Amino acid sequence: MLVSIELWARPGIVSLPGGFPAVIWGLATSPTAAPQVPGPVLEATVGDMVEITLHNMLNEPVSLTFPGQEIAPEPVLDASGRLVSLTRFAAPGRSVVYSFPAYRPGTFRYESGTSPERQVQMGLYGALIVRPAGWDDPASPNYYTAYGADTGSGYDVEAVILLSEFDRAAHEVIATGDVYNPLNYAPQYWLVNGRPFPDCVAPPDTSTQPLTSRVPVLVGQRVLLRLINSGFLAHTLAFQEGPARVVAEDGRPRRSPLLDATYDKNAITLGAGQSADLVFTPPEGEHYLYDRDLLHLVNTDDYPGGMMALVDVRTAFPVTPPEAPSSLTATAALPGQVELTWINNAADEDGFVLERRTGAGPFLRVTTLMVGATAYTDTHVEANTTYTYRVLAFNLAGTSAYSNEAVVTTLP
Amino acid sequence: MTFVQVRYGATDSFITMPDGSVHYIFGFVDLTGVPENEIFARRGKATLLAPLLEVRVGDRVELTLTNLGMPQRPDLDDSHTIHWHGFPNQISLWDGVPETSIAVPVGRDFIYYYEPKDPGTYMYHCHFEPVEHIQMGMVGPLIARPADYNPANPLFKTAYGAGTGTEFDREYFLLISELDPVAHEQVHRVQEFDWSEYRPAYWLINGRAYPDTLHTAPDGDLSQQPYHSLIQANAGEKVLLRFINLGFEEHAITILGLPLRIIGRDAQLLRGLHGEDLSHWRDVLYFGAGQTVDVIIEPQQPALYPLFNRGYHKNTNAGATPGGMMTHITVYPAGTLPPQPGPGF
Amino acid sequence: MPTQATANGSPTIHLRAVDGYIITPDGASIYIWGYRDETGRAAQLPGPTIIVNQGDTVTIKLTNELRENVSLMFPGQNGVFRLTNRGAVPVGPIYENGRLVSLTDYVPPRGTVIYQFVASQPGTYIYHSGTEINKQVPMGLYGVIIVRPAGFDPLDPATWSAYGPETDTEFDREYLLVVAEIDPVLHEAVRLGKPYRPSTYRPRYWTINGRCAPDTMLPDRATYLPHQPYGSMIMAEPGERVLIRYIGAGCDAHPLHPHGNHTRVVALDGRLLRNGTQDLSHKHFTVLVGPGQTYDQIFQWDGLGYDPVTNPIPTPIPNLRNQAIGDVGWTMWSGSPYLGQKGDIPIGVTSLNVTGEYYFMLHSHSEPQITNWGEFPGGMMTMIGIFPVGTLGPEVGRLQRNSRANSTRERR
Ligand SMILES: [Cu+2]
Ligand SMILES: [Cu+2]
Repeated sequence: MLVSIELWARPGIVSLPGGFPAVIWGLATSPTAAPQVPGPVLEATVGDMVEITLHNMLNEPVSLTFPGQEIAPEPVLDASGRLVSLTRFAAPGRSVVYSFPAYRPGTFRYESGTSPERQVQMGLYGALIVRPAGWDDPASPNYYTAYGADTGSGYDVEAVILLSEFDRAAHEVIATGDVYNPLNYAPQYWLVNGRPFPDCVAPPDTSTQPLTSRVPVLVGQRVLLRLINSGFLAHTLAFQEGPARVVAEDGRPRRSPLLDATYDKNAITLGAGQSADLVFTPPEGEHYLYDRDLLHLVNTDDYPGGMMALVDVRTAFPVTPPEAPSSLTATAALPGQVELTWINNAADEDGFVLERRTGAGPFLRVTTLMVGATAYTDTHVEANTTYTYRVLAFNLAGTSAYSNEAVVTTLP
Repeated sequence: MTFVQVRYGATDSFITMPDGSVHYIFGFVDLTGVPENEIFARRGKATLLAPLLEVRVGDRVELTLTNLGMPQRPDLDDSHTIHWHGFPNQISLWDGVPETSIAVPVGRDFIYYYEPKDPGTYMYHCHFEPVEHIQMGMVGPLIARPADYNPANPLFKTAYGAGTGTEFDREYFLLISELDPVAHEQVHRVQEFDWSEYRPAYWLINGRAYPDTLHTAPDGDLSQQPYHSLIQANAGEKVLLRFINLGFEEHAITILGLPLRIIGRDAQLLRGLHGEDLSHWRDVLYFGAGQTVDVIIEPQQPALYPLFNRGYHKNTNAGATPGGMMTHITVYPAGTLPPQPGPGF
Repeated sequence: MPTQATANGSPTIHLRAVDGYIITPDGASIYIWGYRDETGRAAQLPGPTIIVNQGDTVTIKLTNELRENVSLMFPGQNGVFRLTNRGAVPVGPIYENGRLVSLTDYVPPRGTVIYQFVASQPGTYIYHSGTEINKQVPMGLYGVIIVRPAGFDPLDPATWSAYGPETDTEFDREYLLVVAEIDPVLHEAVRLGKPYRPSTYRPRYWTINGRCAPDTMLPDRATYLPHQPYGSMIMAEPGERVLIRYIGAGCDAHPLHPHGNHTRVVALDGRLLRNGTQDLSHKHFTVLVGPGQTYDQIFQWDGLGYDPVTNPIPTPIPNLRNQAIGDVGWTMWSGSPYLGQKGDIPIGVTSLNVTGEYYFMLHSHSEPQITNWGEFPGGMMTMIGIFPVGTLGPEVGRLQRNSRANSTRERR
């Protein structure tokens, strides 16, 4: 089957904790849709022919590489034989088509191959999942496996856990077209699926950061975690409790008819660009997966934050979204902060997303709060500025409507 | 079995980066076969990398280290050593650690002796104040061939011996490291350097940064950096890549379009206790300082395959891109290239 | 010292979270937070080594003598409970006012919390705080749990193995090397109650068992290191099987390289590298120990058999006056190339060699880590001493309950 995917590389804005906007270059599924960071999860089944058309809406050449796929590289060299791009690119306003057969199942990545030290950092990266033939056929031995029968990769629930870093200063330099010095690379945010904690546990949405890192699981279900490191640095992801079984690395199963080389791991290191598939059956409760480089559990310097994901194991899921919060008030009683309170009308919420906008700008996420929150102090505010706040409640069934909007002008 | 005698001198020199910057180094210079009265003329002629030391299991190896002193740093009377990194069952006399045996003062010789028992990819380096002497450039690649190695017979042209599934047609070593220009400058200017401030600006393969990694011709500017890393092969050939990390950082190396079959690590065939074949494929090789990894690639299509650091911020020369830890793998149609005369050429 | 664990399969260990100071070889005194047991007065680094048996129901009481909440996490253990008046409740993340305040059940200042779990699997594990972990773990709130396999009898060497019979993990002596880093700026900020910016993290000291070289080579419980009780000098005789357990307790990865010989890595994160009869162990000369990871390895030095009579050193030994020996005023060399022999050491140089043993360095190959604030020698370095046959007592290299940790021969 031919899997045809069109992607538009476009600039956009993401929301960093505290309600800060940052320019990204993301991949959108239509010329008018929000560009996403990471890009959309591309999916194919073994035997498919994958054809990807990349439309360039940026001001510089852009391309995509598909590491691990059977696709001969077509690097672009300059007159002196030096690499200009790791692969064919689309000039601004132009398009480029890549195609390859999905010849083996696995967890892979795709990313820009042009000035990748800039463009991948800007957000041009994503996950590519290739499933074995028969994975969705209950009669097939490959049904709900990542790598086919007898590879130890059977699962009930799967989740992509894609790691990356975000250097806000780099984004500012690159977005303005200034010369970027990669020696200055020093990320302040550490992302899972494009969001840092706690925003990563908020529900999926239609923003530039649409993916969640909350993995809902029913007790007894086998979970397949597809870990991908799209960052530039190595990351060691740790489980709070017992280990998970590593069944594949870089999209290659560790079990064959001759040898079972799968192994248990409690803290797994992924070098830049590596992937691993892990299977485990977690007990009831909330289980964080966190970057064991504990200094990455911050947003700028605020703890807790950073590179975390949540495996959320329950006996049942809610069936209706929570009631919306109400009576949101915003008070600027002290310089440099805004006190927010609201009434929680839900009985079964998992948390709240608090958003604000500056003047008439777009609403950006300030933070995500967990169950039971009815107050928050926003300390990331400018003086003499008018902000409008709103809050919603969420659970695994969805999100509530927004509360009323509360407008406040900060003190000098 | 062969009696191998080599002689290396410890001295200094300068190297050049693609941006034209020049950096002071310490290093080794090959003195093998150099008449005694010409030894002194090799002062100040250290190379980065140090010469490839190539031996075979069963050889008896005598390695003489001569400390020639540092013409650029006449004040410096540091001793030097040679540490065969990873040599199994070493005795302390020949381990090259000054704190546990002896080091070689300026103007003196010492003979290290080895009877290699295990084939594989190793490294050697000076172990005197190793943080300084390794970063300054006293590092070299070391290959121990299996006892049955015979490049004329494809069954015996292997990394780990006949029957181990490690046959290859061509081989290259890629010693990767980093260069902190401030450290080199401080050492040259007889200033203290705080090694906890180590922060490289160049990332090197075989002592060179991209695109110098591609220069196969002898080059005036690269006179002290003898090893290019342009990898060339014919389609369908097996190419053995011997990765050696003698930097201080972990690195993630990848080749766009070519999966890496990892057959050995740390000079050990990847086998379990009962002979289980633990060789496996990866797209990105992630490894740390002081590790070696043996990889076989089997390109089927003629093409240019870029090899680079997936930590993209390291593919730079002091901020300029492209640069750093990159090279090309050029694959020609079958039968284009003649057989390879030796590793890395 | 390893902590009391009474027999009968239900050991109770009482830890206290306290503060204290450690010292470094360059004369610095560094404020730490750490755990101590009933025998200690102040925080020790690392915390007391806890040794239990497979199948034990392990009860750990934690009393908080710090000024903020602390806790204990047990990565690698499934089914950790907190004992309460209402019975045992599973531990889990704690939220207050909608914010994650601890990854696990914590105890406020002056309180005590009781954790319990069944040590179901043998192996090497870490324990550490689960609260404000980006500060509390680097401050020193970490330690090691060793779970002995079923059938292990400390009095019967025939039963000594890391993972039980038929696992090829038998050993004659064993050593524990916990590696971590210290940024003194963090420690000083915590001491003064001042804020610390994790983005400025820059380690200046690198520790094995809480000590920097050359203190690593001093005996256990050296009197001048009262809060760093564990040495890391490894001692063995030729041919002996030495179990070396590496534990990464810091935030960075450390490439640990023993001279002398390879190690065979037999287990990762407390799980044997074996599936049925298929063995996945492998020999390495450098093991990259990531944060939160443990590596169990067997090291054996069985020498080339040089002997002054039957197989003399085949190269000329130069006049030692022409060589550099003990440039720093001391040497660990015997002056002889032969095991068990001593030779002349230049006048003015102290030989720390006892009986003609060989020393092999074990160190991080990320060489800036073998400095103390940039000065070699120091940091993450120790030695492996290979002693002549019959010269080491059975007390050397034993980790025992109610007794010494790495029993270390006093060197002159
Ligand atoms: Cu040296
Ligand atoms: Cu070394």
